[in-house]
Amino acid sequence: MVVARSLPNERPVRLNQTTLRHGSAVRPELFPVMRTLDEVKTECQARADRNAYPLSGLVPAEVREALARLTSLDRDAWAASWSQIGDRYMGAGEALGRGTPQAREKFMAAWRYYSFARWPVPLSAGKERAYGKAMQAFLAAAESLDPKVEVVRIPFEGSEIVGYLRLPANAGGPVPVIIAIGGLDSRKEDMIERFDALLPHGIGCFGFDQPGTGEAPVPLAPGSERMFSRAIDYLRERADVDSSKIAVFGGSFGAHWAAKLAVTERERLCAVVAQSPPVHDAFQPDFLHTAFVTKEYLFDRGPALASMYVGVETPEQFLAAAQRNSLVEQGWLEQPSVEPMLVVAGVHDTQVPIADIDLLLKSGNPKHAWINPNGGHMGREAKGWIDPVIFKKITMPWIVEALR
Amino acid sequence: MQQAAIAQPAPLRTLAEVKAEALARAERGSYPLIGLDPADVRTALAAIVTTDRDEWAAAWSAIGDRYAAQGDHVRAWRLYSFARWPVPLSAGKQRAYRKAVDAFLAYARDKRLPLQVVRIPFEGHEIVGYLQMPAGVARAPMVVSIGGLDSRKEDLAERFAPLLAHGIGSLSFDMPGTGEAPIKIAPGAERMFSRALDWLVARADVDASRVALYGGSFGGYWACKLAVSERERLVGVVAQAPPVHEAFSSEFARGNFTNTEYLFELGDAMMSLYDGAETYADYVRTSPEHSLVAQGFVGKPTAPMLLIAGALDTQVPISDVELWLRSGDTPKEAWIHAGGGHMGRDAVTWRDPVIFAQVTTPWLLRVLSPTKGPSA
Repeated sequence: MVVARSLPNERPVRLNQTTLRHGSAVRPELFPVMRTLDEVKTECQARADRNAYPLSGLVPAEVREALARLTSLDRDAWAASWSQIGDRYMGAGEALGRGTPQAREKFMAAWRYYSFARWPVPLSAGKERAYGKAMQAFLAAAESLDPKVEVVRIPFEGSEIVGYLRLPANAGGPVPVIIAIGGLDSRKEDMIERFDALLPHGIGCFGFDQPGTGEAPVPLAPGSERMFSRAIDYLRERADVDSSKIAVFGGSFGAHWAAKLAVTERERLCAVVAQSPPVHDAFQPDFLHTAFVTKEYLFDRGPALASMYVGVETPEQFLAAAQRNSLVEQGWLEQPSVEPMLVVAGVHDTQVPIADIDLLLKSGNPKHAWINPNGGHMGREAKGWIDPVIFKKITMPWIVEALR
Repeated sequence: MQQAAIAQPAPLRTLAEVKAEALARAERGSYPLIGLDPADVRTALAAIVTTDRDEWAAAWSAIGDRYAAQGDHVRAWRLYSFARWPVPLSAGKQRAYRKAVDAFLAYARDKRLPLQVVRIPFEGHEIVGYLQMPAGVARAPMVVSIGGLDSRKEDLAERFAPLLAHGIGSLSFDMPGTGEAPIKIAPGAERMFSRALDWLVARADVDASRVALYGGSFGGYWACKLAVSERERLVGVVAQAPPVHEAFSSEFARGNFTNTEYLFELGDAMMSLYDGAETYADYVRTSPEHSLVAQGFVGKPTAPMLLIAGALDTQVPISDVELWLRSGDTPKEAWIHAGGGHMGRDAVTWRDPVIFAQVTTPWLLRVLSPTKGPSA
């Protein structure tokens, strides 16, 4: 076990020992730089001003403050500048007293800044520290949540799977649960926050980091979906969970696992949502070369992607390792899949080509789709169909109906 | 080469093969023999010895007549309809079509369906539609439905009747070039439905802010057009297996004459729809003019839409549905069956009525609900 550095008056948070291992081999300096510092700053501010990913929930004035401190693209400097605001909120929360709703808002804000401090993945020691703080802040906020967030540790191949489970309060019996899988740069904390909206519908959430990220015990590789099969085993053993109503949601890279589980776990799942799933082309060298430099992603896309694979150092090694994950290559697309399944996508997605969505829709059992002709990754737009709107109007009603 | 390209290909199915296929489809309750009794199908098929269209019409009509005499108008209607199938290209089939309409109306009276035949003046002619209004609703939300190449307003009126129980009315039409439609297919023929919408929204018993539209197969083509041209007046449009672009290519037009997903005569039936397509060569040459790309509809803003399709469709390539899904300004919903053929249907699980009940109906109920469907 690795024990994260703790702040005063704070219980140490036990981190999965694999946490700091993902991407330790990657040499980010060998990947193309996607934006200059000035370009990063301009784009960050613009996204913060419209409350868009990956700066949703950050205060524009504070974003300006953090950006102003940056004089280089150094990852530790990045982590330090955002963490400074995170520390401020953390202190404010502690001052208000743990376990109070007032403090919760502060801890949640701290979590958002620490998360952006480690964004997209912890490729430096400073970012690793920020990630640890992000989890501490989130769990501090969770202390006053009703219903509680249960940190579940499932023994797995000599290590453990860490999941956050949140079940609706006062349920009259076993409840449906959606397993929500984070993506390249979103984490189980984000999943718990997003699926909060399903609790009033009597649906619980079990949030996970995807293989190769966060506290996941396995890297991105064919077969890593078995960690979720183990999580399903665990859920089915719980008396408070309705084992006939277990669904899976995956967004962005997390949707790759959703698409896989729709096949491998079709007997045990009752519904699957895959939002912008990488299927085949997204793993091919020709496409990945462009994905290294897509302006849709803020920065560090190449090394972040590479960090999910075990032992990958260079772009060349990454391109070679990526191809093995194609669902075509692995034969998954010839298999029956869960019904119902919803696929959400945007035609202008530069991270997962729409051809992957066409391919998935033409495979397996019938699927529902929501396709935005003007949407990018996740089907999102800069205005109108932003992430929370897609979630509220498309994903959530579909899940509620599927788990009814 | 040139000669071969303009010669109309011979059908791939022999009469014996048509009979075997028709019986197989009847036995699994599948299109276009849904609702026919396999015993009746066997009797009719036994009476058919040539591919003569009048002989076909007579064999099915004979059984239809028997049911009509017994007052079983629904069976009579289905048999007469199959007697004119796919389109009345002979005098005998035309007679069968008239009988089908009469039998259907008799069936509607027997069942006390709240069905009115409406006649909307249109360019010196009239548009004939079937209107069904729900009881006890002051201003009803509505679904306008449009038939395809071989389905008719009778089929649609029957299919949409279950929505009455949800307080939703329906208005059903034959598409241009079929049934009682006043015009054949030509660019702009969708104006007959715009005229029908004018008429519909002027009714005091209709909620003009809640009108949706459904079109299946070739009817889906009009659904796509109207999703653009009438997007202000439609809250939602369902297009099931709509031909959009490639389906109108000359290559596809030629292929219609040898299509075996369709029971028989797909090419001849298609040809009969178009204004000015007198010969096979005319049809193959002019078909591409009807593409929604050629006519400038692809990429235009649309009303909210649901597309339904099968990846194995041989009458409308799935690429047409993909093209429509990725075009325009509004997100579109879809239901895609990887193992489905035309209309997204398969032979076992996802038959037409199942898709209608589990996919089409819930979507229509959603967009017609007072709290509206999804929009950003």
